[in-house]
Parts: sequence; structure tokens; C-alpha cells
Amino acid sequence: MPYTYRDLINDLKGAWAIARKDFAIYYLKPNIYMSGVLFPLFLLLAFAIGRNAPVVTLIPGLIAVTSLFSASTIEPVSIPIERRTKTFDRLISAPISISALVLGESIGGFLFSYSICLLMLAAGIILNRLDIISVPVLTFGIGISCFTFTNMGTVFAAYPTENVGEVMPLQNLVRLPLLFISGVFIPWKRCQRVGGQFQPSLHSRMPAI
Amino acid sequence: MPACGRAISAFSPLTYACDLIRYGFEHVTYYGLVIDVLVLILFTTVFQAVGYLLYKRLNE
Repeated sequence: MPYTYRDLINDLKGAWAIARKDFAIYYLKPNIYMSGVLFPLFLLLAFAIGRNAPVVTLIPGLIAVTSLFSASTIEPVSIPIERRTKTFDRLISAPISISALVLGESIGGFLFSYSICLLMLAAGIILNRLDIISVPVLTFGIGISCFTFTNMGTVFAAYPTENVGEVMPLQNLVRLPLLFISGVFIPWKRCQRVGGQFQPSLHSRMPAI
Repeated sequence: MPACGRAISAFSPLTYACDLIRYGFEHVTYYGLVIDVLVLILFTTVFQAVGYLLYKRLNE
């Protein structure tokens, strides 16, 4: 049976209903704020304190890390809880496609994460009087980053378990290494310089005493 | 960063997200705006497709 325009509208309505359900039930869970907001903030403080790093370097890193952690936190919390309470079975058996289910879960996480990142951005601008060079690029960049990481969280949440504690370590196994290879807190130019210290070619060029 | 580190970082969506966000503040980008956006769209598409397959196989 071909996929019609009416099916598309039905799926989009279903996806939006799932996003609203996540918004209503899971946005105020304490563990979501713990790993989605507080964790990136303290990670930034750990990197920033005592290093005299410029704010204009730290705030983009903070927003990027917040988008990663807040966006990929909602689904790995909400879906195992729904499996435990058996409401996920209702979603699976609802008259919507699986792709609408994945999209709906992703939209739910995206809205949460985008609003958290915009709050972080506003706080960064107000407290540090940062200048934004390109507002459209920044807002679009934050948006697309949040949506990408939300989809990543949705993928991890597919792991069939009723226990949140089984999904989170699996996800952190991927998320935490990403922080150190992505040039988040140290921009690429300085990364190259720091990494250069470990290259044998640098030391071979030093004059012998 | 050593060449192998840079090669690994090319597979991280956070690299492109951070590069794109940094452009908004400093007008400086490592990969270029278009590459950043295209790669993030590619990652989103791949995650959607993998999510679809996993939910279909593991949860039905």
C-alpha cells in the first residue's frame, strides 16, 4: 500500500503528540537537569578555572557540550521508564509508523535542549558581554546541533531495557570521549600546538646541547 | 593535535557542531560553514535511519 499525503499528516500529528507527551512528563525530571545542564556546567568550570582561557573560547564550547548532553539525555531516560510502565507498548501499537515514533521522540528532546542552550547563550551574553558576530548562523548552528544529538540519544534509547542505568553508561562511553577529540574547550589552532608537544618531530628539531 | 587525532575527530558530530557555533562568535571556522552543516545533516539522517531500524527490530 503506497504511503499517501494523509499518512504523512497522520505521522506528523503522531510525532507532535509524542513530543508533547515528553514535554509534559519528562522535562522536570531531576536526573535530566543533572546530566543535561549541571554536568556540562561543572565540566566547563573544571576546564576553565585557573587556566585563564578567554571567555569567547569557553562559551561556544559550553553551548556545544550543553547541546550534546541535554539533547541526548531525554530519550535514554524517558523510553526505559515507558518500557517499565508499559506505556511504550501503546506507542509501538499506535496507528503511526516507526519513523514517526523516532521523529516524535527526537522533537521532544530537541525542544528541551534548544531552550536550555538558548538560556545558556543568554546568560553568557549578559554576564560576559559577549559579542555575537552572526546571530542567524549561531541560532541555526545550535538548532541543528541539538537535533543531531537528540537523534543520537534516540538511537541509544532503542536498547531494549527497562532500566535507565543500563542505557546511560553505554551512551557515556560514546559521549565522554567525544569531548576530548572534538576541539570543544581548546580551539583547533591551540589543539594543534598542544598536540604538537607530543610529536617526536618537534623534539628532533631542537638543537643538541 | 596529531594527525591521527584529527582523523578521529572528523567522525565526531561534536567537532562540526562546535565549529559551527564558534563561527557565530568569532567568525572563524576550521572546516567551513557548508561542510559543518552538511555533515551535521548527514549525521542526523544516519541517526534517524539507524533509530528506525533498531526500533523496528528490537521493539516490535
